[in-house]
Amino acid sequence: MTQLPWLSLIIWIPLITGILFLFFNTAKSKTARQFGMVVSSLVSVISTILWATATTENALGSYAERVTWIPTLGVDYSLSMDGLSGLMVLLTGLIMPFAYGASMGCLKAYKNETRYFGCLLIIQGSLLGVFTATNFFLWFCFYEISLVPAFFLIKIWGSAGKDRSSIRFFVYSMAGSIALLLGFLALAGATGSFEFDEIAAQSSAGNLADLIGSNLGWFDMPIGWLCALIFLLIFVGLAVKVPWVPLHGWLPETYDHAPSPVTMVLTGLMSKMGLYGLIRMGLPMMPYALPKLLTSLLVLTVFGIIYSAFAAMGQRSIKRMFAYSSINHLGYCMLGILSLGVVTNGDMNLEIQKSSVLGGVMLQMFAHGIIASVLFYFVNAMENRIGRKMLIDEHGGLRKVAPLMAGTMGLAVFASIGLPGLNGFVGEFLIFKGVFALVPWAACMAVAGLLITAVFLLRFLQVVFHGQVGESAAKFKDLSLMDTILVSPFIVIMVILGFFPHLLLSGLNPVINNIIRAMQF
Amino acid sequence: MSDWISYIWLIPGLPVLSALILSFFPATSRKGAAYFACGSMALSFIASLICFSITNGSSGEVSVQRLTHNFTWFDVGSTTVRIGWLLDPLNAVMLVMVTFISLLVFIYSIGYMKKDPRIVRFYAFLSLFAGAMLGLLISNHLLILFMCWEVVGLASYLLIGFWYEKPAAAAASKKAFITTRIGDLGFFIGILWLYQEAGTLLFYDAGQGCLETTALGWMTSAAGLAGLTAATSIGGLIFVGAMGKSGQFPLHVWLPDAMEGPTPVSALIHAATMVAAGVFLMARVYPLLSIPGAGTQALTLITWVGAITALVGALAACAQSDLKRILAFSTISQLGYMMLGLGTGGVAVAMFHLITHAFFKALLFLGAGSVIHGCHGEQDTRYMGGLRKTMPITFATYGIGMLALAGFPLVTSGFWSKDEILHASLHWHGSYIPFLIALAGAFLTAFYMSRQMCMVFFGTNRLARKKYSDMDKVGVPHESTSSMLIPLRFLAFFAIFAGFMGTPVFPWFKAFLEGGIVEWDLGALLHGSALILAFGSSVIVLLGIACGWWYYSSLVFDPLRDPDPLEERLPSGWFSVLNGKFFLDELYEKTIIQWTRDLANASAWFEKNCILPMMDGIVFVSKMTSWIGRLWDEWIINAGFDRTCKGIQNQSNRVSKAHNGSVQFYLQVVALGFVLLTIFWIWGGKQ
Repeated sequence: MTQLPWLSLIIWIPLITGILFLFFNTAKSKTARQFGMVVSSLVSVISTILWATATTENALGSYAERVTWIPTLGVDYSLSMDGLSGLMVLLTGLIMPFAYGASMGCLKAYKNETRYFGCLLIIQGSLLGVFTATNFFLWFCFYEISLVPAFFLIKIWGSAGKDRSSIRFFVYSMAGSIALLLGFLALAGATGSFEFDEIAAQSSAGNLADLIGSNLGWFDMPIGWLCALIFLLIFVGLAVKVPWVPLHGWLPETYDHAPSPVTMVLTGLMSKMGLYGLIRMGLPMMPYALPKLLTSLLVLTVFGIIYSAFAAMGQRSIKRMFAYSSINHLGYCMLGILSLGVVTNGDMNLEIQKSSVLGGVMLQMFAHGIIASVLFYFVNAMENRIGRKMLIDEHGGLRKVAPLMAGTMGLAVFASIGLPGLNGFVGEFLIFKGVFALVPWAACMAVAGLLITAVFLLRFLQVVFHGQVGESAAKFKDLSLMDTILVSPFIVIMVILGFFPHLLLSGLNPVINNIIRAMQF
Repeated sequence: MSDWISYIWLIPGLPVLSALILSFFPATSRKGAAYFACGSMALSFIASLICFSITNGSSGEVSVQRLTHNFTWFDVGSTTVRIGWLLDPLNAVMLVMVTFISLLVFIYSIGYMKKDPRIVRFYAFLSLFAGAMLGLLISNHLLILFMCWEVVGLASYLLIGFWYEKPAAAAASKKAFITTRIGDLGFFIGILWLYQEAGTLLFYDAGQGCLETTALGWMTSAAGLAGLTAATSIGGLIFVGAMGKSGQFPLHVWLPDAMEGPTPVSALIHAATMVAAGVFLMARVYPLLSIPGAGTQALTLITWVGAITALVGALAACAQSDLKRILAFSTISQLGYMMLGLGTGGVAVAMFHLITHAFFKALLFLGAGSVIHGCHGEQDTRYMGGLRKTMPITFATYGIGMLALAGFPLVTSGFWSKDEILHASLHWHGSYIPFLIALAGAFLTAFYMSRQMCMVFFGTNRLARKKYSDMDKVGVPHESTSSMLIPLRFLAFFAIFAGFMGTPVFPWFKAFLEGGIVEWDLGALLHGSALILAFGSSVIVLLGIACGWWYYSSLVFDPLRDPDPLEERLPSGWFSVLNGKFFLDELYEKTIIQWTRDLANASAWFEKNCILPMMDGIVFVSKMTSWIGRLWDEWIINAGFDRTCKGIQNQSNRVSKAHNGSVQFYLQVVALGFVLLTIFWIWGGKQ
């Protein structure tokens, strides 16, 4: 191995810089802040290059690193980047400097700035770790590390109500972690390995049920029930993070009370940890779960899609509306993931549909990350302009005074609605296409969510941007040059990916095929 | 010869490109933007003409010639999604129509939007619309068609709400988008289903497409909803989408409100082209609807919905007084006719009316724009009158449009195309009621159009009698500029002569679309039922015109003084029902919209009063656990672990002195849990 350990570099550079920032002298905060921006951007550039240069012909990851770590447990420090990891690394690379830039514009009034940016850098490093770790042990370490700075970002720099929200966020995350830990340790106990690949291989060989039966055998539980329980623990533990109705209680509170740039990270990236985990850990276990369990989870998911859309419609705060809208959009991903559990009995057509769903889920994860963080960027920009949180019906006619913001945010809103030609559409279509074949009723009911989303997002555009200019809005400033520089790459990405989804999909297909093949036996 | 088809994307590509470039134009380069947009549209028009002449070269042959160019869009998993372009007579004629009318409307807008400060943006949106509409036409893939369909909806949203400062315009644009999206949900499910059944969404793909024999065969044998075949069910679902876009009852409510947009937009999008996209879509998937042996329920549905729409639109049009809303309801009614024609007579009948209607309705709307422009923005016909003297060219062209819409016998295009529909519905196997409705609609159309003519162009001008708050608005009506009048003249020409491509004597249009040899056949006109029908419908049209003239002639009626003659002659209450558009808006407001609102509020309430307390319960339980955990920790676990926790505690204190200290306990719980479970796994789990 002659090449540099690139993955370790992009993880540990921001992580260590961030930790140093926590002890940094705040008097020189401006220099530090700018230095942090340089670090974050540099890491992002490397991330993007790694994504672009990773080999995509096969499903195995590029840039793999492996060092023996804890031999007694058989745990290695092992990183690798396959298509799915690459996609998430790219997304992290895009969004973190974006959130960092958004923070630079809005945090002038706060003390302890250096620590704030330190926390962001720690999140960036640990997220990259989460998305590249190849075994559960390492994955879980990074996963837990990422929660701590997020907690403090909400707790210290959030808005009124931040104390309760940060506790809720933390308790929910921790409860989820414990469930996940229990579930995965049981799985690891059965297979004797922490490696994701190893477990997936056992799963596709059809051995998991036997292994669980012979190695665990808790309380003489039937093996089917035991498998279902393990799946449920893993599922619930990760679904809290996405989130998934009815385990979403922490999200609106947290998104609302966190500083908006942090909300960008929470919704754009940290929610993806849950989905990423589900694809890595949930899917191998899924064929062993009881079909009835999967059906009831699907019912809840479909309900959640529609319910969260209605809840979004019922909000007066813009930030909360987008928070609920986020639950709705990731609900389609959950729908797709759960529909993969349908038993195909070797039907080739259904296998094809499954790969379409999985491709759709991955595209949707990426698209939602981009769109949601752009939307919260605009929420942040609005808050900066009026000095507090904004209600939907507070100002009218902003398009007149801020046409550039109206245009770009309008485009992001339409991407969120899933307008064809923008990046939100292809993922949704692929998910729905596959789910319609696998679980027709779920697809037919979930499309209602598409309509309700359009209703409240268009009402948002109408009330906030159209109509007469309100008196209070007369001094509202349009996007600054800095805003434009930060937002425009994302606008371009939205349009380009709407027409050329293969830019992402071509790298994902080997992984998709691999996972789907592993699920059939 | 076959590779040029791969460049057909340039037809929609040029306007899209110009939309892109225009969005970076400075707002001050007003003329430049207008000429740029017109120029790119003209190029598209020329390209369309070339395409048309190529497909026309194949007429006279027995089978229809189709050129396709399919290519890979992306791969997902191990499957490939292929898309493609298509050129056949059906879309060739649409291409010419859309580019021609777009070009005229673009030219017209130079004059109409002269004073608008955002004219550059206006042309960008119009170009985006034209590009998406043309993309919809040349698509050989249902999903690509759907994508363009939605972008067309976006352009319509942007243009209806172009004057977004007006609350009514902002509300109308939202209503249009959402109402059409309701239909699109059905369409979307139809696409998903078709994809699953046929395995492809390409229309024509050398025998493998979803509209070709093999796939149609599968769909005939597969079961669908409620005892129908899959083909019929899918057709019905796709039609739901067409109902939304083409303003079919009961989803037509957005179209009258869409008149809040600038009038050129109404002419192009909400009269001539976009609203006809639904009819085009049904014509495109017609093979799916008419498979022999697969049931014709979808066509029956289309026929009935079309007939009801034709009647509802015509009735409501009789009692409106806003110049553009009368035309909007007339559009709804005529779209109903097209659907009726499609259901009973097939593609050629519907498309013929679509094309003639596009010309004369664009003419009427542009004429209406000229009238509104000349009357300083006034849209209420009650304040017009006598404009034939001050606006002679507008009057003459508008008169031709009105006669064409009314179906004035022999010399107008509307007569020939409507006659085809009447003929088809007469011979429909299902029921004779749609035919009677179509006849009644013909009478009503003639009636409300002559009513409008009387109120707008005859009598004396009443503009000065309106009390405006803004005194500048009062003035004498004036004729419009030549950039507005030239398009009117062109359209008036086609409003008359477009009909002659599809008369029974020389049914070139049918032969062009469906293949076959066209011959002069004077006898066809005199053939039995055709002659009687043509004569009968002529009488009905003339009666309608006479009736309108009789009631609304300025000799007997002054709109500002007298109640509407229709109100006096109809039983009490009827007029207000018609005038109130059957109160459908109110009905929707009280039912679906209110229910949606209630559900939203209920969900928000549930979030606040159930989910939040539940969550705090969980938080409380875990706080308790953490205390127990702490006791456990202090009593049982050794000091080394304590020190670790202390470290965490100190570290956190350094980061924040503000927090209340309970976090460490959660950290402890997790750390503890992790350790315990690891211990359990190492010693206990393996047995």
